[in-house]
Amino acid sequence: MDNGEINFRRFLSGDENGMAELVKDYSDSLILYLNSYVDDIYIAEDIMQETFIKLVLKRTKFDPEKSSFKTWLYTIGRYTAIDYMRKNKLYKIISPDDCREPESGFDTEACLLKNERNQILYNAMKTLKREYRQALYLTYFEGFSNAEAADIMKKSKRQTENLLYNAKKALRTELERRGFVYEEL
Amino acid sequence: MKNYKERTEYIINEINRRTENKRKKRAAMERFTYLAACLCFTVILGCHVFGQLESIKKTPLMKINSAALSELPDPRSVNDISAYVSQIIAITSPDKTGIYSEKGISQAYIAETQTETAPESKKITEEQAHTSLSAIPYTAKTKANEKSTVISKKLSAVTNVNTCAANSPSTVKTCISRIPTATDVTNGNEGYGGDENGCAYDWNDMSVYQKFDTIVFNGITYLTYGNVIYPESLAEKIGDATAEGFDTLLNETHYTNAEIFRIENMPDSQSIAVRFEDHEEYYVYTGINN
Repeated sequence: MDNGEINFRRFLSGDENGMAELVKDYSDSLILYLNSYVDDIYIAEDIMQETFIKLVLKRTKFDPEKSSFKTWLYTIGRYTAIDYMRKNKLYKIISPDDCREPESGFDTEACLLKNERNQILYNAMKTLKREYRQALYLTYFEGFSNAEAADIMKKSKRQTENLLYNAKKALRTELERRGFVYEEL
Repeated sequence: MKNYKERTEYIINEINRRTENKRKKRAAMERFTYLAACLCFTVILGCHVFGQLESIKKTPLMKINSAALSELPDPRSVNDISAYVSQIIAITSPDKTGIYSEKGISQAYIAETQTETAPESKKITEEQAHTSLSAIPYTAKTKANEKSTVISKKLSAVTNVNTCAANSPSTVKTCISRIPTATDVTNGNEGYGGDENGCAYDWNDMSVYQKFDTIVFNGITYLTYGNVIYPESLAEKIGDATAEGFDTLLNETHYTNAEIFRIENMPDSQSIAVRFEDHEEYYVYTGINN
């Protein structure tokens, strides 16, 4: 039983500190992940809160043997984001040419990233396709395995691996364009 | 951007609010279901009661026009009994459909009028009409004793005429079955001198054992069911007796002579054989004092 599940069960048994711990542990990373869907950090924050609410109200669907708490949380987050996009018709096809340059000045997302390396990577990822961003975020920033990322994104493992390969390639090109070299990519 | 505490508070408050809303919705649904069930039950009950009331309203109660009834001729002077009965029915049935109805107290005492004729004689002859009218004195007398009204006497006397098929196919038996009155019901006296079918046969049409079904001999009362015994089974003559019969239609008593015989291997107190005057048959009579 991981830490997230323990806190979740604490909250279900009536301890509100359990929810506080969950929010502290997962809310920032979940906002960044959801931002890759909606491209709005404030909307992503709302979706994150909605995700935690659904987590409690639909707790019967959680199966600890099937997936970890974090995987389950991100899966619900993804569905919540998709629901939001569907309701607000935010689905749009973005070609690589449409990808915008990161805005200069104060970057809200940067506050959520702990170190400079991640900030550089996150900013570079913003120019990538949405699916590339999501796959890279799950594996590089959240440390999910390929299988877990595939489970969250509801793709096969092979599809996820191909997606990650192309995403890395695109990210490397973007970083090189910005003058950075990352050997691990 | 909110801090962790604000996010947590928002999430917990929202969870509590939604849970409360869900609980209220469920309670409201339960109330609605209960009210809907009550409403359905009330509607069903109302339909049932209303249907009952409607069926009672549709049931025709017999209304007798007393004035018209008093204008009817005396039944004893009527020759065509079927026409007279039709006249009665026309008066007592407002909707001209008949005097029968299934419910209501008044219908309980409406006599059933039915006519059954033997295949050989479909028409009611003058003689049969006379036969039926012969019952009037009995009915009238009984009614007088019961202090009934004249109208009810006429009605009951005529509407209770049952023309029944007789034992002999060549004749038509006219039987009178009197209406059980309220007095009869109160006194438990529902018998009225007929057979088990409610028919009192004409005296001349009855067999001798039917006329004299009871004989008293040597202090013992004997009854017969019409069984005949062969002369070979008789022992010896043990005496003579005078049998007494009562004509319930004419209210008359008849007498006849009879010879009493002992039956072989049978004690006198148990069974005897009786031969009536002018008859050849030996009828078995069984003692009822044993």
